[in-house]
Amino acid sequence: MFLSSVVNSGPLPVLERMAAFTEARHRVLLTNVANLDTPGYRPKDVDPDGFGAALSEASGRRGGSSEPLEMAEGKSWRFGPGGSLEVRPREVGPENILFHDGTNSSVERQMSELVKNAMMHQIAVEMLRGRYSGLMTAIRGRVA
Amino acid sequence: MLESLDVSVSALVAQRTRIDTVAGNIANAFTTRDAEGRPEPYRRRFAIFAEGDGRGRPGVHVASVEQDRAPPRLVYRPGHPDAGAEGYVKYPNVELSTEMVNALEAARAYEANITALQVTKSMLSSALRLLA
Repeated sequence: MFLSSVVNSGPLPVLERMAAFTEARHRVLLTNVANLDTPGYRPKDVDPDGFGAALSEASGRRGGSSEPLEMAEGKSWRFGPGGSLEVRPREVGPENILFHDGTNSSVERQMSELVKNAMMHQIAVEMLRGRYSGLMTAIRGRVA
Repeated sequence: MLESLDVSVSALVAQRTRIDTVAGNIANAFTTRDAEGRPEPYRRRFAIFAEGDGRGRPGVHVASVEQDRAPPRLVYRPGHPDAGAEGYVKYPNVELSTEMVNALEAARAYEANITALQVTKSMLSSALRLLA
């Protein structure tokens, strides 16, 4: 179908997945920050490095630039049919052994991860916006 | 995406409750009688946090406000009307330095969640601009 070849063209599917993943990860990181003082809480994450590797592998494997993107699923995330994203946050290893109430979260690391993740989201969304406005220009047939 | 805001807000509410308990402890650091006027020293209170917002969604909530079981501080004041048989007055088991550290920690955690909230807001607005 013509429309699916347009929305699957170029970097659009890659950017969409990046935006969906960073949004889901943002919620996980927020929960970590919210539970900084909860006894026994262990910070969770959804393996962003694994996601980045899988995404670059999938976009390298994609033959033509208008083919749909086929991504392997990771332990913490899965793209269902239709591009819906499921995440299963998992506890990350000890990052801080100072506290004796079972929490081991470090606020600096969580906040920096939060900001880094938000920047990745920003990049994906801004690039998507650029692509979409290009498409809109093509549809309208005139500039501005 | 909008529920992301609720996660941080639940933490703001929880940290606020914690600051309230700290404020109550400091206010009552020298209270030797209970609400009915009986000579019973105030007991230090603290908030217990638990994961989840209490309604099954992610976040944090105050599971309960507990009383500190540590014994009251005994001060020798034989002239005090609430002094016991040996002249000791039972003062609350509140340590002001502990309370100050607790208040600072809660305030910093509150700030961290405010920052997280702002990050969420800017992410939301950039995602909304996709449509415009």
